[in-house]
Order: sequence, then C-alpha cells, then structure tokens
Amino acid sequence: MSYIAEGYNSFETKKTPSGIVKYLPDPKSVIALIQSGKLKEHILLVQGGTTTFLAPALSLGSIGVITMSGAPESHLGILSREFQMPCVMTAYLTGSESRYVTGGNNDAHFAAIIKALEGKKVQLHCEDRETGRVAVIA
Amino acid sequence: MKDLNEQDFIVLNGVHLKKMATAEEIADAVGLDVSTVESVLGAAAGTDFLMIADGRHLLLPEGTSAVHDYYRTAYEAMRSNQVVLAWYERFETVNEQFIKQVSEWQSADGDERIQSRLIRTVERLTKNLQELIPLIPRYENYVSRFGNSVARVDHGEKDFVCKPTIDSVHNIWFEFHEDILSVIGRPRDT
Repeated sequence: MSYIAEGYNSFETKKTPSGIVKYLPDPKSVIALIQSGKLKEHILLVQGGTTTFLAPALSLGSIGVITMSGAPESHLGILSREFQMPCVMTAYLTGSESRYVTGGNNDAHFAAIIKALEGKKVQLHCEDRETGRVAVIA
Repeated sequence: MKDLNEQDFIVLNGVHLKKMATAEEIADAVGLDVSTVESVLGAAAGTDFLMIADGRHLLLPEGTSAVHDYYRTAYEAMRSNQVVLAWYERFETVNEQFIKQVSEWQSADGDERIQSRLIRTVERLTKNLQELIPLIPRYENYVSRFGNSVARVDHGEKDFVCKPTIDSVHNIWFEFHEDILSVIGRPRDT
C-alpha cells in the first residue's frame, strides 16, 4: 500500500478508520460539521496539537485526526489516546521534501498538505509504534 | 445577551473552557448552583451564543467572542502586571513537565511512580496559584477542583488522572491553562 502522508503516531492501534478528509481551520467549521450530522464520515485535518476547538468533535466520536504540527506529548495527543481515536501528528506529504519547522513560517507547507488531502477518501494506519500513515483509498 | 455581566461571564466561560458540558458539570466547575447556571444557559440558548448537542452545551462563535470581550475588559490591568506575567512564565515550565508526565503515565499504563510525580506537579501548581488568588479570586475554584480530583486519584480512581469525560486532573489543568492565557491576552487559538 502506498501512503500519501505520514507523521508521528499518537498511539499504536489496529483501528484503520477511513473517511473523507475535512480541514477544520476554526471553531466555526467544527460547529458546522457537528451540526451537519456527518462528523463520523470524516477524517479531521487540523493545524496544531493544542487545537482546543476540536474538543467537541472528539467528545462526539470523531473517528480519526491528522495534524500538521504538534507532538504526541500534547493536549490533543493525550486526548486521542484517552478516546482511543487514531491520530497522525505533524503529518507531511511523503512525495515532498517539505517539513514542519518549529517557529518557522509554515504557511506554504500547511497549504500544500491541505490541497493534497482535503476531499480525498483516506485510511489511517497507526499500528506502528512511531509512525502513523495516511493512505488514499479512492 | 449582548454584554455579559459577571455571572453570565462565569457561566459562559465555564462552557467555553469545558467545550461541551451539562449544566451540572458547569455548575460544579464554576462554583455556582445549578439553577443559576441553568438560568444563564437558558437565556443564552435563545441567542447566537450557544447550542446544545447530546444534552451538552457548547459555545457558538458569537458566544466565544463575548467571553473574550469580557476577559479583555475585566483583566486589562493583568495584561501589563509584571507579577502575573512572571507567574505565567514560570507556569510554562511546570506545564511542559505536567504534559510530559501525563503522556508518560498513559504509556506506562498508570505507573504508580510516574503518577506520584504527576500529582506532585499538580500540588506545585495549586501552591503557586495562591499567589494569583488575591488578584483573581475565582481561581480558588481550580484549587478546590484539583484537590477533589487528586483525592480521588489517591483513593485509586485512576480515571481522575486524565479521562476526558470527568473532572480529571488533566481536564482541570487544561481549562486553567486556557483561562490564564485568556487573562493575559494570549488566546491559544481562535
């Protein structure tokens, strides 16, 4: 299987959730997704590991998350383990050399990931201890 | 409910920090009786401030904006108070330690030694909070909540370390962190 993206794995799990990637930039987008009733159809893509506005989505049973920054030792990492929800963190595109830089300007890096993933049907693979992977399945 | 009074703020800030909560959970967290909390939530539910999902309340962007406006006005002086800003800088170090310890505790299946270190970090925060309480009296609630949850952990209820759906130590810590960031004007996210 080929993977479009990979990053830190929040925790090892055999769960392989799949869904359409939905980028959530702000609290408003999280509320809109909850109100749509389609939360569990999506793998959620967010920028950071301290994305507190994602909390309602986690409480309501989101199936998987991809972040573009942040570490497993973060608030979101801790919550993902408690909810047993697969979470790939600080994901990068496997076909690109671009990587997240702490404290740097990552706008172009984030934009490239969003462009590559949003709207795609993907599956998360988090059985490896260190690395979480994202496969496009449709 | 355009401009919040102090009671509105306390209740809606409780919703804001807990993200999704019942009236009872908010009342416990903010130290008000349930009927008072229900009254404020009832008024807010008829506006663009609040929605209810699965019996739990969450703020809409208008509500979040009103809470941040209140912080801005009520805590303006804190944002240039060197005692508060220096306190926060020290807290950052303790916070990093705490997050690391919670992650280690999870990875080690609730190892007792790691748990002891984690609880000592919580006790360090509650001790340090005494310096802020004269300036922000409602922070006494955090001390009380930490005390209750640490007591539950000490009695073997490990869920009170970091289970997201109860008043666990990690939940309280995270709410406090977002609260103090809002007081000093550094919101964690939009």
